[in-house]
Amino acid sequence: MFNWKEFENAQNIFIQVGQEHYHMQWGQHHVDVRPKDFLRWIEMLKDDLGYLTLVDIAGVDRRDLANESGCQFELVYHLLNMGNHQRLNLHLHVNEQEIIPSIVSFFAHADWMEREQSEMLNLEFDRPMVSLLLPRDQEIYPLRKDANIKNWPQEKTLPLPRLRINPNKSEAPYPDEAYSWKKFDVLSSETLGLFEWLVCFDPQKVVQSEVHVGFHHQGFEKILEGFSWIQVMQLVDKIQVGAAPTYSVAWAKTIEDTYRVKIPERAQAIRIVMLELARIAEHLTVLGEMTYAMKREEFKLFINCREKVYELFEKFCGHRQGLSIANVGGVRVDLPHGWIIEYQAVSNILNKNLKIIHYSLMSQNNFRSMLEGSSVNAQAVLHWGVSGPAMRASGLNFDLRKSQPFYFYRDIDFDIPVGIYGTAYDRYLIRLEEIFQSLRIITQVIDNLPLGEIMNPDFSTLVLDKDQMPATHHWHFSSLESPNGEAGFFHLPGSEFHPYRIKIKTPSFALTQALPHFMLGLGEDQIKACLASLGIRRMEMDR
Amino acid sequence: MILKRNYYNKISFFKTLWYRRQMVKLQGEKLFKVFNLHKTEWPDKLYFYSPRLKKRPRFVGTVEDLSNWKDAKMCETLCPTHAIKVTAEAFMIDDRGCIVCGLCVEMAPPGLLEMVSESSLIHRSR
Repeated sequence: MFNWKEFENAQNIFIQVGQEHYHMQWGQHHVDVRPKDFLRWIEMLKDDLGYLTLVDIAGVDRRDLANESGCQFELVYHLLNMGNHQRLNLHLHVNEQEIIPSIVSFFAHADWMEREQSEMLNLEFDRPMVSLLLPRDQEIYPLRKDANIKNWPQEKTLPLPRLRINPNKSEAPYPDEAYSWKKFDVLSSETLGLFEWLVCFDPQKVVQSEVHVGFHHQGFEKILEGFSWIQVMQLVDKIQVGAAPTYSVAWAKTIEDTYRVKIPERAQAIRIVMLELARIAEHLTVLGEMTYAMKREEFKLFINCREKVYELFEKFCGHRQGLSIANVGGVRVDLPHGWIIEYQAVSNILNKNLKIIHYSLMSQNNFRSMLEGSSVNAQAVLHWGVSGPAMRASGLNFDLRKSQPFYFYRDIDFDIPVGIYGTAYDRYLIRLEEIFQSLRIITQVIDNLPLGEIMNPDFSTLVLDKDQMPATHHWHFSSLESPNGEAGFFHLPGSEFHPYRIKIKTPSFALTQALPHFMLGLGEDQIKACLASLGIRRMEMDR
Repeated sequence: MILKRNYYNKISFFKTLWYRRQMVKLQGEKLFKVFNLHKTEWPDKLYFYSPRLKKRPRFVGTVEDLSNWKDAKMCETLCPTHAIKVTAEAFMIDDRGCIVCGLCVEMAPPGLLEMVSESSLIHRSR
């Protein structure tokens, strides 16, 4: 919910601190800075004003747009205050070959974000960097507007890294010869096809690990720049196919937020229902993956439960995973006749079966001890910028559905499960409980389903007139709670309903970066289940 | 909401028997596992794809409809995967590129495009 009082308080503070740099637009704070003032601002925001989390960094080459500052590049640092739920966009204007101060000493998880932006736009930071997603030593910078993408250079494979001596050795003092590096490929079952992974075992437990990503990179953000809004809506579903409605609704929400488009109440209700169903489906896949990694029979039952949710999607929109349900100004299809009764049957089955499956898992001796290996405390989770169930497992009570409720979430009764130790067992319990909670949400929405239209009449046609929308070139960020964390879009509108730049904020990117921290102290059999419990998805990781 | 971590320790003995019986029912097995070898394959139930999924966009109109260049060209520009190509003589849809989003059918004037259920791509394999 937009809290006007808190917004005004924050606004007053910013006006006092730096009046020239501050302006407000579309309900968000914006501050424009140059590199010389940049670190001072970051230090003040983090230490004095309480902006503890860095959500994402988006960079753009804005040579084609009118620009007041006269700089070619712009980096947007999106910061979040967890206390009063205020969001701040810190715009850093940079020219070419100007050195940017890096903020790794303030936010550790800015490491990968800065690397990503520097290799995509050829920006220079004041620390040594290796490319993250693109091949090493390449001279093509894809997100520049003058980029000419034809031939990619081939990459050379690197040797295994040297062993660093770790002061936090676990238990028995092993000699240094006992430490061994193991390499898991992209194709190996341990990594679930996500990344290359180098793990160092003292013979029993994980001591240290490194993650290499970028093997699946396809330049999704670059592809999206060539399409209009409506086409982007169809493609964005593929980021997380298991829970497709999350990203299409998030994209529709960004455009509606930027242009203040109102959507009818029935469309809002249908969107909530679909988002929660997607959450259920995603949690069930994750639980299925976990149990499959531990070689239990129960994974079949989880997948069978998910199949019932997919059938509901199919009856609603024709696709099993609920592809392309949202549209700017509403939803594309109305709930068909008899769908509600189908849902009630499914919810009864899920309510009953999941409790039984949970019981049978808990009655197995080995199950809980397999998952309880490494614990992550709340401070470390904040340090790595992790969101979603992985954050809540370590005791942080933060959910966008409660803190910044969109649509009807403020009127609905539901609880947010919170763990204690931040182990994989906590994540398992939270995902299971969230399924019951979202069933509770859907039943409440369906009981009070509003009547009326499903589309805003101004947007009933898919192609819009040019005069209808004002031409603006201003950043906007909006997000919602996806099953694995905070998901959203930075959007810089271009001309004629084509986005000039889209930056996708995904939870998996931060999770992958923090992965070595989550794995410390696990045995070799526990790795797979712990990795599955995080819910990292391939397309979310590679932009 | 703080989770009950040890919830199932407090369940009575008779309730556990009920749970076990339900679990056996869910797995579709008999009570005595000794005589029952695992024969089930995943998925346990044969899944029939709905007729709605089988539908794909097809060109239903005539060549004269293509003379209305604007409407036909609109479909080509709208397609997010560039699966549609329009010339003066033919309207081609590439099934390999089509993701069945339905934008072209929604946008085209009536009588030009339709969702047709015949499809060579999806069929039962077992």
